[in-house]
Amino acid sequence: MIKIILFFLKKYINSPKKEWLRFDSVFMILGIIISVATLTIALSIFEGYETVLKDTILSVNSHVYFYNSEVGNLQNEDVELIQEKLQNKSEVVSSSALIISQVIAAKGNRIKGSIVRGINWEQDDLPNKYRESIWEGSWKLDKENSAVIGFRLAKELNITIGDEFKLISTMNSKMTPMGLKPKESTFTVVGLYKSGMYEYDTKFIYIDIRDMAEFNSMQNEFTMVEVKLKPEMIEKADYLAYLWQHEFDYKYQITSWIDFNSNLFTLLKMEKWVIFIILSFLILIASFNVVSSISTSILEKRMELGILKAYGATDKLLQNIFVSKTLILALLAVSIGQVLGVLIAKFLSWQRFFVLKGDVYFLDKINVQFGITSWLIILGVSIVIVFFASLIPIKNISRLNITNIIRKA
Amino acid sequence: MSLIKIEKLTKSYLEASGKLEVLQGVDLEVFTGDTIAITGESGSGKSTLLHMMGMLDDYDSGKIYYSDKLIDLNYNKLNEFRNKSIGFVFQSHYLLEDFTAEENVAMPMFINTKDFKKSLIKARELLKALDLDNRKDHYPNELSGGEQQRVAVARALINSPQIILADEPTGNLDVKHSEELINMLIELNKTKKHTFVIATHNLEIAAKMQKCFELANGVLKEVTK
Ligand SMILES: Nc1ncnc2c1ncn2[C@@H]1O[C@H](COP(=O)(O)OP(=O)(O)OP(=O)(O)O)[C@@H](O)[C@H]1O
Ligand SMILES: [Mg+2]
Repeated sequence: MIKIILFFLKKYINSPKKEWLRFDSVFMILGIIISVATLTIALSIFEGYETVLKDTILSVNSHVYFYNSEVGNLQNEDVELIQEKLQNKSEVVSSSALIISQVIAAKGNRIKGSIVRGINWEQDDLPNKYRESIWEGSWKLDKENSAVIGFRLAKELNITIGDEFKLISTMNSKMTPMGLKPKESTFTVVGLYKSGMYEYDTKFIYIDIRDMAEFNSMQNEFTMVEVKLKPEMIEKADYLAYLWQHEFDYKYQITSWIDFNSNLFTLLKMEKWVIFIILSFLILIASFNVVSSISTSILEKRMELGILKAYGATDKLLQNIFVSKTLILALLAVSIGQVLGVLIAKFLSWQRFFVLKGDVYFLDKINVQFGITSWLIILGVSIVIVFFASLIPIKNISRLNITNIIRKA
Repeated sequence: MSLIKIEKLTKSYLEASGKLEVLQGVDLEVFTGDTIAITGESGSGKSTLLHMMGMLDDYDSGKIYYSDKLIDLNYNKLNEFRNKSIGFVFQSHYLLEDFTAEENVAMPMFINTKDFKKSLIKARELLKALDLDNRKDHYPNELSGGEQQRVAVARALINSPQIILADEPTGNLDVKHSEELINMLIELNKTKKHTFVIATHNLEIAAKMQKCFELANGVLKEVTK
């Protein structure tokens, strides 16, 4: 059967009449191309968004975090214990202790709520991508009270490298005769930080961990220990955190970047499916054209079909020929649609007229990524839809009455 | 043993004006090697009878035997049976326009054997025998009416069917080409023992057949020459 079908397909493609360039089949092809392209654009932008968001989150946050299981901070010996144990673990690349605190950054009359992170900036294998995220200036925090701040924060405070600004902590207020006086220190900007994540770039300030201890008056205390994992373990961070929890006798609260952002990622996954389902309806609508195109074609070819039937061709064979014809066209259309979709998406990510709202979407740049999975799913779904659509009209083939066709010539 | 035996075949059509009884008990026996003409005025039911014989349409009552085997539309291998046992030639050629002459001829054999090469070789042989070998690569619309009809005959012959049913095969041809085509059929009958049943208006053609029947008032009567 395959042989005959192939023979017919070859003839169909080479046919001098170029039947597949006809109005209704061109419409069918265009319909599929447009809907597949739309779906591809949406999914590739969404996937790009998801990936870049994840990368960005990971670049700032490392993978596993150890906190004190009760309220309070980690002590020096906790940090030593944790780091000693982690050293022998094959999953771990590096770890580092840090102090995090909420502060107010101020310059003149501009103020901004910020998060300051005191880090071991000298450590070469720092668990996060602090050094890689420096946009301008230096990552070295060697001078006393130097700071690297998010580039958007710098813009908001209207300061740049070399400028001084104030950090104000409400946590360490001192009682003075004038009333409660918050702790205040002056820092100098040595570098600007750009992660791509709107939230971070508007809030983060990095300073030396010793300056931080000084500023916060918390000697030998740390907010947490962050841990960087081997690449292949990153996606299993939540499981690892769960295992370690037990291993460390529940002395520490151990979480992972996955737990931390689980709401966000669940939401993203769900949104992706919603986009996919809604846009699949486009393909469904496009496949109405498939029904009408095949119906027209059957009507037009009824003479041939009648003769082939008279000469012993089974309905099954003729139906398969029509379905294969349609599937080949659909395959072509889907491929074109996918390529077109990726191109358009690439263009959207390249152009600068239209950008995302960073405060809403975390990122402001449109990123594009089109993975093999999406590619296969779109291909599969559209071919299946077209296939089922083509089954509707081909029933008419078995209803064709040979004698009626032959008489009406 | 008769090749085909038709007993009391009836067929009617429902029309707006009522029931139209076209065949009202047709009896006919065809033997291998026969050439049979079926005449009758227009609307007498010649085509209808041929379609019934060729198992292209259902009949109301009666029986059709092929080599003593009762065959009807419910026969489960009907497609295969039609493909192997019956060749059709119609008033107009009904060649497939997307296929060349030789591909058209090869088609029934290709459907049957799935062997395209062999089918093409056989098709070329036939076209040669019918003096069409220089036309084999032409598409139907590049052929004259006579050539088209000869190609159609070649197609009917390719599976060496037990019987060839021809419904006014010369209907669209001029006198000269009609004569040529009929002579060709007679020749094929003599040399290859092909069996023909031909429906025709043309009494001259009918006279050239071994047996001649006339269809009138729904029944078939042999016309003695
Ligand atoms: N599908 C149909 N529905 C209704 N009536 C039909 C149908 N097919 C044929 N008829 C009628 O049956 C009668 C016989 O038709 P048929 O074509 O067999 O005649 P014929 O002898 O071949 O005529 P002609 O010489 O013109 O070809 C005609 O009156 C025709 O109108
Ligand atoms: Mg007729």
